Amino acid sequence: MIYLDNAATSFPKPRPVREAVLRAMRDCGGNPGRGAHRLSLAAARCVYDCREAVSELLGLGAPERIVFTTNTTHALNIAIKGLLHRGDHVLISELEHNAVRRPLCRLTEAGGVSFDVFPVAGRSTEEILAALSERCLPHTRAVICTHASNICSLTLPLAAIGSFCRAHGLLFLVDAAQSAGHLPIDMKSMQIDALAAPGHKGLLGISGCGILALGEGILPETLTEGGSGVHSMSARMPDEPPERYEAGTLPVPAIASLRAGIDFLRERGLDTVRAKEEELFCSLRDRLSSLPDVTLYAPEAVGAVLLFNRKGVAPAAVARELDNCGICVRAGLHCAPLAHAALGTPEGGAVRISLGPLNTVRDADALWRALK
Amino acid sequence: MPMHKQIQASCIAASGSMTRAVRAQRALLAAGIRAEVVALSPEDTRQGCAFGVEYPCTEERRARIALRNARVPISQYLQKERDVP
Repeated sequence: MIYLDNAATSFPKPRPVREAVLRAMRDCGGNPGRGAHRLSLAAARCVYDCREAVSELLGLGAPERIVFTTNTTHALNIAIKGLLHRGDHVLISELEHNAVRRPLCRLTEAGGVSFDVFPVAGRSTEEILAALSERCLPHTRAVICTHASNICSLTLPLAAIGSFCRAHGLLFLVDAAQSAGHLPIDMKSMQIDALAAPGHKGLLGISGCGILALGEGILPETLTEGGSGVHSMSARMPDEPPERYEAGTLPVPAIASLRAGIDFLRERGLDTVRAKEEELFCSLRDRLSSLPDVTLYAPEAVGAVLLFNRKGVAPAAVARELDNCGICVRAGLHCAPLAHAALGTPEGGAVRISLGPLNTVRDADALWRALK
Repeated sequence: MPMHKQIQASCIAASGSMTRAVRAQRALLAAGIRAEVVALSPEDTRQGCAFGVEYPCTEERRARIALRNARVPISQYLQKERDVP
């Protein structure tokens, strides 16, 4: 079996990640932050270690501002619904996933929040900044954008957008669902106020744990309330992160796996992982572009995700045929209709190949043999 | 035979959340001070459950400096007596 759907979730998980899950279940079986017996403390240490690792990875320098959520969508919902108020206007990129679009549409329907979309595909950094500037209104409060598209390898210039936001007094919220573990992120130098990321994609953990990283002084309203293990007399959630946003029990095995995934990437080196993915990408792109019935979308952007269609064949049929050959890819709109429209894919979307750190030349060759 | 008990004082920095308590413990350990995360009772904090970090009272001064340098927010410093069998 060849797995090329790492943008959905990474697979297989490295051995240290699988071992970390088992170790967490064996040695850290208590509930972190609920009591102080040895197993609860062991779980709390495990969780804190992961907060430190994530904080370092994202250049945040504040483990207590790493909030563990259920997934990226949950993290984005906290940031979007917790920071925006009635009357606010927001700018989002045309590459956004429904995890950004739908919460905003919900706020729009509920009244009070509006948003505009700025173009990205085929634009230089200067052109993107100009597009932001043109759409910036007196009541614009935030820019929300993905770091890397989930349907192709286009990326957004976060440092430049962060500077723009700072200069215009805007909040800068980033969806790093496809970039965490693939691209370098430094929240401080990129001037990011809140960043959402998954544990189970590029960071190689198991599903069940997402990340919301909050910049200094960023304190969204809570989305979920409940037990936090502290200040039990109070009817409100604690004031300070991360407990303020972590109502209920944390998924310790998933958090332990996330830490192990980050360690795995560190040992290999993010640059090395990235270089290997790009090499495979280029090899596949160049071969696919030689097929007369293949259309590639945004092929000039090199990364871990390659989007294509075959003339006269529905994307779902291509994916099904590949599945019959033992190759896992994803077809359709990938929860990103705005991005598909921006790239000009047909109604049925396209076929997405997404690479991960464990993919090999052999995987790329097998895909090529199946498609040629 | 009656068991002889010793009373020993322990010092605690109340940090509120478990996250801050672990952070406080790491700061103290980094400063070479033995420290354990402990749960505080509602009577200790008057806010319900909370966590803190316990260290030898002989290290009180150094502990406060280490926690301040590490910028760990501490809601209160407590001294408790506990029985040592």
